[in-house]
Amino acid sequence: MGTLLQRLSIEADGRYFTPEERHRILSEAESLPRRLAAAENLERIEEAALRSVIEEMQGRYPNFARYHDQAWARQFRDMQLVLRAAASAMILDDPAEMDDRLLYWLRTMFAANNYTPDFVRDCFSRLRDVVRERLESPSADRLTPYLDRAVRVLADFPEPATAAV
Amino acid sequence: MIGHSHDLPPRGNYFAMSAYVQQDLGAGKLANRAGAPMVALTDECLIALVNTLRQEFAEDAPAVLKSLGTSWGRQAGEQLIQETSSYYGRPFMDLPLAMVASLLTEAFRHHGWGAFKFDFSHYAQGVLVVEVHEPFEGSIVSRECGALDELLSAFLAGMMSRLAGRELGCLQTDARGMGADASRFVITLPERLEGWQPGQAHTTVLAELCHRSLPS
Repeated sequence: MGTLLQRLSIEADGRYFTPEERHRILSEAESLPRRLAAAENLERIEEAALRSVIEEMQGRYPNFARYHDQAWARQFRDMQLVLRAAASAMILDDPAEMDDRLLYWLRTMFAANNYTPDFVRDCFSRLRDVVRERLESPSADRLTPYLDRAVRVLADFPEPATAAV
Repeated sequence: MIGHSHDLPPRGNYFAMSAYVQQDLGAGKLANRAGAPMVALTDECLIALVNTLRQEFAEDAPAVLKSLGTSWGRQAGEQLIQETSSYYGRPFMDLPLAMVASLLTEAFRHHGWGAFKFDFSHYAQGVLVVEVHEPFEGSIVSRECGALDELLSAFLAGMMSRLAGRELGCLQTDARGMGADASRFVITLPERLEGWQPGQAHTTVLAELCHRSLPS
């Protein structure tokens, strides 16, 4: 956990950065404009991507809205939060940042709502795929590891006794 | 219809560590993100506190511990209500139950109290079940303080009473300090817990409480 700069700063306690560390910091800085551009591109397609996924999931899970108040509006919001957290973590180059800021918290809610791991996996892997389809490959490639992580963490909970999807 | 999400604030985990604890190293102070002062105490403090209360109050010690834990829990519940209501922009009582479960889990996890699981599936029967892996008493100070998580049990009763807006009791049914895989607690109206003793089989207590109808 923590950005590269934070980690290197802690490791370099009491000394100057080594040439290798300086090189890593420069590489990190050079890629920052591309990371910011990827986040900006994601912001541009966010609404359309989310609506596309929600419409597809509504067809696949027709009973979901019967179980939950504002079911699809909440799912829209939750997926929106994941995209924004992924963009932030990608800019910081810190995948684990998503876990504490959002994913664990969201996963507890999913489990408490009696969602199934399959439902969550379906929604968020489809979200990842739609983002890949709608973004140019440099931006998509930068975001995919973060959205992969979201799928993996969010769907990692036990099957509910009574599913509500 | 997708519906509108305008009334659903796009807010993540209030307790996220990178945002929750604020340090003022110049003044030597810690505060949470709402500005509430925090003090980091080691488990030695807890051991000393509980042991001293036991020595000083002898047979009255359980009642004193219960009073301490309940009062602490009530204040923590009040703080949780105020801070999360402000952060999420709506009264705590209007937050979805699943979100309440998640906020409670994160609150305990980020204060180092253990990995909590709040089970609201018996809500209709007036029963809340809390499962705690790595509880701070049972895991850390059990040898010095006894097998049960007495302080935590009272804390949960106080906190849940404040959150529910009515008096609730808490019974510990499993304890890490007694060899169980997790500490478990059953929370319901105090009169429904009369006659039960801590450490009675969790499944038996739960089945019995859920089977009996709620008092009007």
